[in-house]
Amino acid sequence: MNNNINDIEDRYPADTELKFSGTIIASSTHELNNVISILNQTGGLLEDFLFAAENGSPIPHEKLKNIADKIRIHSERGIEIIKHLNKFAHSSDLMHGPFNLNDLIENLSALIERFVSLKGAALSIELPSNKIEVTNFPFKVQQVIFMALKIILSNTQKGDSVKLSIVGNESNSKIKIELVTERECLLPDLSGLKNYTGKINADLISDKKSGSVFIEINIPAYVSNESA
Amino acid sequence: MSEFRVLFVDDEKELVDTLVERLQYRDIEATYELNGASAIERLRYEKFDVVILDLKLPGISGAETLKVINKEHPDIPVLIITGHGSVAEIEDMPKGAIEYLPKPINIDDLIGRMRSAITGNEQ
Repeated sequence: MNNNINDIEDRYPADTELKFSGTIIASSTHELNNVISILNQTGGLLEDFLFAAENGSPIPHEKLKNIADKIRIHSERGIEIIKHLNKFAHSSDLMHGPFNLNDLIENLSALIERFVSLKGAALSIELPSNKIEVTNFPFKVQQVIFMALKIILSNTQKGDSVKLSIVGNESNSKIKIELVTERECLLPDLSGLKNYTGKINADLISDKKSGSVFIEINIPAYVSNESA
Repeated sequence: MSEFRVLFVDDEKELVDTLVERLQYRDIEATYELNGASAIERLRYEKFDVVILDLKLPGISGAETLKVINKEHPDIPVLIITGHGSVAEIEDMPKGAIEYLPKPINIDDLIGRMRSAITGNEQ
């Protein structure tokens, strides 16, 4: 039996939404696990210091301050992860409707950053100052962005940068996923991704220029609930 | 004198910083590298008794790092730490690891498992 994920996605496209959710949840809970591990060890370190203090070794003020800082920083990091994951989960509450594209991209980028950093690359986002409101399928839009990112990441290496941006204007906005690299890269193959863009009525293009290859997803300002 | 020397390979700097401090407090010499490539390089000129390796690493993956360590240093035991909820669910479970430790790690459990890995005795 061939368990290659691309084959599974080709045969059972409906399951890819579930797979996408699972991938995002798994990655975010890994991050949360790291946060909890840090808090757990920091609490253990404090216990070590208290044990030493009971045996006559005073706890240096600087050590206590470091522990307090670590607890605060990583508690805040955990809260941010939960906030983004919760927002992602609620993006499927209303399968179709109006939403803010900037907010959607901002939230999704926080959840997918780890996929980029695991390639040894850095993710940046660039959003227009004006908020882009569209009517579409928000969960599906995120899934297509993530799948496009996966295609871009298949070419990404250590030291590269990946840029996620919105280009164009409200009536004609495009989400651009760009690999910035000095290496010569092949043009991304979009044939598989095109199977998933029908419902959100998005056009896709891929192109390359000196120092970058990219995929653009054209998001119409309004897509009917009856689409596809 | 230190009981043994351990190298952590994990990109969570704050985590390994704290683990190193806690182990040093227990007279165990510990240090870390934040990615597989630098760990492989360091093991070529520094002697360690045990390696604790995270599977999710930037650049060279934990599984690839493990392969190189096993090939170049077959005598050094490698313990894998993982954030996976269940070891059975690890898709790309690499061969060659002595043991899998789920995060969060209990420090006394970690020390016991490192000792067992070094001496080759069951805990």
